[in-house]
Amino acid sequence: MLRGIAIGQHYPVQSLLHSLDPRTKIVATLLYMFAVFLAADYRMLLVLGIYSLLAVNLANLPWRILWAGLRPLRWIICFTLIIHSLITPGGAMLWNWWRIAVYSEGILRGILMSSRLILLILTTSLLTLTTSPIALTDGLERLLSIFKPLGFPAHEVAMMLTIALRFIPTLSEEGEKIFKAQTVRGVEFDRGNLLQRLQSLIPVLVPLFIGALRRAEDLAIAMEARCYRGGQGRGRFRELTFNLRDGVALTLTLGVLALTLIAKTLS
Amino acid sequence: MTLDVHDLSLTLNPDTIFTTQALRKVSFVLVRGEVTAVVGHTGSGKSTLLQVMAGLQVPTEGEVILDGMRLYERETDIPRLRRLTGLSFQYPEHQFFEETVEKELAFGLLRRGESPEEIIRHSSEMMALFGLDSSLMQRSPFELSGGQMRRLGLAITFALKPAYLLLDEPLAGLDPSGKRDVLAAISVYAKQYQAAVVLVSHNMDDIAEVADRLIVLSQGEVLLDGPPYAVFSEESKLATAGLEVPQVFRLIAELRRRGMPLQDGYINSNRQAYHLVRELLLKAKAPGSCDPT
Repeated sequence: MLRGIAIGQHYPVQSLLHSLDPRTKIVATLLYMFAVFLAADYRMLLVLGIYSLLAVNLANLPWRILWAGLRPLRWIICFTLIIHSLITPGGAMLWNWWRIAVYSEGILRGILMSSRLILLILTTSLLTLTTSPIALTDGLERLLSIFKPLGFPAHEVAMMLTIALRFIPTLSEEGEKIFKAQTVRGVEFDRGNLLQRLQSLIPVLVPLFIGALRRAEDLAIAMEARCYRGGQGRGRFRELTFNLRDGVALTLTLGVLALTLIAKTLS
Repeated sequence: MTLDVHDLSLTLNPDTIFTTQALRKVSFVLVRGEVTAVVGHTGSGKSTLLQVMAGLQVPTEGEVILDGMRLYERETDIPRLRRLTGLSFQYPEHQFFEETVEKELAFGLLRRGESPEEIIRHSSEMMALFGLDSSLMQRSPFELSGGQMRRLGLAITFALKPAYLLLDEPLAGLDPSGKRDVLAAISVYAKQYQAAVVLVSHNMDDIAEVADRLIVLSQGEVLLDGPPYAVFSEESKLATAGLEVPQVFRLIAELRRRGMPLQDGYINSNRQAYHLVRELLLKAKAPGSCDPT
């Protein structure tokens, strides 16, 4: 049941994308997302698609892992395609029945919207797949510390994120174990109406929450025992370094964004 | 009336770098009334094997046949499977959710549609078996002591009276007296209800007390399978699996090696071995030796 969740899953192999500075990857992903939202015609999306494919190619990941990230959202993608095809008028009428009509403009718009979605999901999952959670939050902390003078608690936010990411697999494993244990005790999770199904989740959720609280307390004690007292004066084990390849990657991404902006203003 | 495991193989996360061969061609037959211990180092596939046997994890290859019923088929009778098998995961006390000990014990029995009288009978029987006082029934399971919690956690599965009782590390983290109580409950249960009990452990000393049979797993493969005396005599093979022969058995082997006239009687448990050594020492009664009693 819980195996399908691939949020924040890191796939540790060697590749150029894996070796980039996490800050580069975070900024590049943000810039790219911005570009995807700006791109309004299919030629621009094609450019962005090629950029995406290039990144995927450099990440040395098996396709099935990328597909696993897209899979849970495949219905939303199909839904987007259908809705846009149905409600957008313009162009040649392709199909007509009663008051429903499909125009060529609608089909184009549907494809545009769903490919936007696919590109967004693909690049964001590329970020988490190629960056370990620790590197990711490390990079985030450094990026967010720009706002520190404004009173933004960058270290605390990053620590919370690290802990949350660290415990996703632990809790999902624990959840799976409790789920199985209650199955053996005779709980049938896939039987009955909605209310009965929700009720059958109580024997899973209660122990899961109790376990999460127990872990939280243990972790707090362990951190205090190691004299953790927030970010002040904390050194780090791994220093982040910004290399030439980071510069190249960022320039390339900025170039793509600039291209999108120019295309947008021209049209 | 057996549980047949035949040529079981299981690959987890196929075609990714996380892929692991959890089980490789595992085969054995379990007979009711016997206590079988599955031992192995961490990651040897013990817990996975238990889950496959309980019908929770579909194997990649091979089959599990429970009293003539093939598992993992379309026509597998799931309610019958659940009735026949009981699985207690490691740290069963982490699954508590009810308000009272009584309700916690009744939960599985209620699901199965037992009458209130039967539920009370099964529950109190198992409380007694684990040496838990009936006055605890109305208490919250979270108020119990660590040892009591573990015993209740196990009693929950025992109360379902499965013919095939599968226990994953039931002794983990218990103190010596807690271990003794749980082991006693296990052997009484196997005899009294003619049940096949499988207990998974990585500690040889613990299981040497109760097991009629030992199955040693190493990297998902059955390395040794037989009565404890036979398995414990394979010291070098056990060492390759990262396991140690219980201390008393090592002592006996050492005595034999040094020419002690020990009869080749089958010593199957720690207790028997202990008695043998004690007798020997009594017989020797060398002046100045300390009193072994």
